[in-house]
Amino acid sequence: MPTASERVGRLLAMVPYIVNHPGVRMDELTKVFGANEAQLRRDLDLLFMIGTPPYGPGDLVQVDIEEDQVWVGMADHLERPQRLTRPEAVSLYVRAKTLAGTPGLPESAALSSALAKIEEAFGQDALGELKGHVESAEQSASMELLEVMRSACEASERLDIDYFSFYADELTSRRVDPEKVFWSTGFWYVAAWDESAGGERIFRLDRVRSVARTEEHFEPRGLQGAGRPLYSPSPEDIPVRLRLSPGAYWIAEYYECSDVSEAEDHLLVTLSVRSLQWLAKLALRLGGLVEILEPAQLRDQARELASETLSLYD
Amino acid sequence: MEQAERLMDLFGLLVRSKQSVTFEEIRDRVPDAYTQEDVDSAKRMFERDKDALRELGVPIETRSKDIWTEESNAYFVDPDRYYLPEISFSKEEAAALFVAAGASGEVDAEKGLRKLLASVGTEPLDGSISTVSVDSPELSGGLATRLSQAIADGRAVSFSYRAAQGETSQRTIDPYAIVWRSGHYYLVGMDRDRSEIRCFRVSRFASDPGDAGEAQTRAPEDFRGRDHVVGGPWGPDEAERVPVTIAFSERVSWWATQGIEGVESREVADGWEEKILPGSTDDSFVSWVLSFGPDARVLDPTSLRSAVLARLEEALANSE
Repeated sequence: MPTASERVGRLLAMVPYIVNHPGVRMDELTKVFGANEAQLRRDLDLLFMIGTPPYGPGDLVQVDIEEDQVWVGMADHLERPQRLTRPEAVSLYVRAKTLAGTPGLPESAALSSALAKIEEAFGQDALGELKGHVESAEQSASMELLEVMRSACEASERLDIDYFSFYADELTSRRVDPEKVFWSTGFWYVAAWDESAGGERIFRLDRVRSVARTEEHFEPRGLQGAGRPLYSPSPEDIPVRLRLSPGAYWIAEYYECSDVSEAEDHLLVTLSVRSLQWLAKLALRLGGLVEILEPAQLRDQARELASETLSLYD
Repeated sequence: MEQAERLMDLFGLLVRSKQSVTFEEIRDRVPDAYTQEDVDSAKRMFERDKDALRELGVPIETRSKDIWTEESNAYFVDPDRYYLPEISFSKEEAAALFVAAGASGEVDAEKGLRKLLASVGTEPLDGSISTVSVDSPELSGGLATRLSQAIADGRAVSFSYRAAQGETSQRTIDPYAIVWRSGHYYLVGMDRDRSEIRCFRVSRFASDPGDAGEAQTRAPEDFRGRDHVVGGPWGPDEAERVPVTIAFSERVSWWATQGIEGVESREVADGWEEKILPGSTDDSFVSWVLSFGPDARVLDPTSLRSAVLARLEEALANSE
């Protein structure tokens, strides 16, 4: 049961919406106001009961519900929306600024102009000193695939993709059922059911080389998408022991590490990985900041990789 | 009379009254609401209703009714403080705000959005409310919003912070800005104990931020928090850009520079591609180049080439 406050709060927002959208459909109201039709009808029933004393014919709000359309008239003091409370304004502002600053999103321009209007109209009042102090330092770039993936997710359409797997270090072809697109750690990802792997996988969109539509549709499985760990450990993972210099301590934070032991000027960590190849590359990137202690095979691999890369410059 | 009804009537009376009204007048003018014989219990019910309306953001002020009394015994709602100022959004703007509010579902953002949606043309919002989300524990856990609230209110915060090197310390900060970068939020502000502007990754907070009283300093005019966010090891940085030329093998050239603006490419022998892109010679850029291993070769400038070679020599020495 919604509380009296919830009902009144919803009504104070819903009446202005209906007044400005005469004949709005019930299903639109349920979507916008996040409540089911029975609840909304009960809320609207309240309007029949109220008026401002003394009750004259002109003081009573008129509500018409025909078929599934709604009209409200004579609502007088209820016709204009309420100001946003500070928590509401701050919460919406932070989310909108975040999303506007997330690259490749076609909504960015519209969001930025909406934010400018909000700052202009009631920023000082609702946002206090926050106005202008939520910033984005993400790179901006457009990405065609993002739109393709979003519409495939919305339509539950099966896709064939060519994907460059970072961990396997090769291009692979897969048939996937994409469900959720999300932004994480600076990249766009899609969570999909991978038919060939028989499980949920996530794919970084900038490493998807091509997408072919299959015209087939699937029943969504309710994949988790955002919030799931980007790497799922498996029993076949190989333990790797590393010695990190301070400049590489972020590794202990970025990847799941175990047996962390700290000394004055270094950190010893163990990482469990499915494939050694990407770790050899990680060692390459970090030069002298990381030393591979175990396994010896990875040390060899890193050495070969370094000399192969060096040979490009001969 | 149920509470929701009383709240609606009380709100209507207050927002339409030109003058402040006392409890006795309210009792009189909202029939069937506060009719208890016992005035005290009627008054208690009224107090509860008044608090509920305030919770909903109705700015009920108390005043003294006349010059003869100093007691704040009358109530008033200033319509200008209650009603949203004129604002109108296009359908595109509304749809974009809808995505933003829902991107990591939070009740406050959605409630705020609903108030704004009344201001969207008369066209209905169409059904295609879409499906992207932002994966950030700091956002979904409410931490980013709480810190933003502290900035909004001009309040200092204190929290326990775990540095990248591992040690944990207690900090008290006058917060200046929240910066979103590579999927993380950063708090930038004046570190009171160090008297310096510092940057903190919100995911490294080891405790919930507590209120530390009014902020003692404010962000300077034109303050840019992002200038204080130290670059991470991932991808090209925001450091000063210089054009660099790098050859990529066929295996990686198609995705290597996606998401980077202003790249010029030209095909060379054996499927390799030469790309001119904005780069730098700092650590993070060198690291990015080396993430391609033997599939990328720096051609220009010499300074970047030497930096890459130096790191390769180190890596080789470290794995001998």
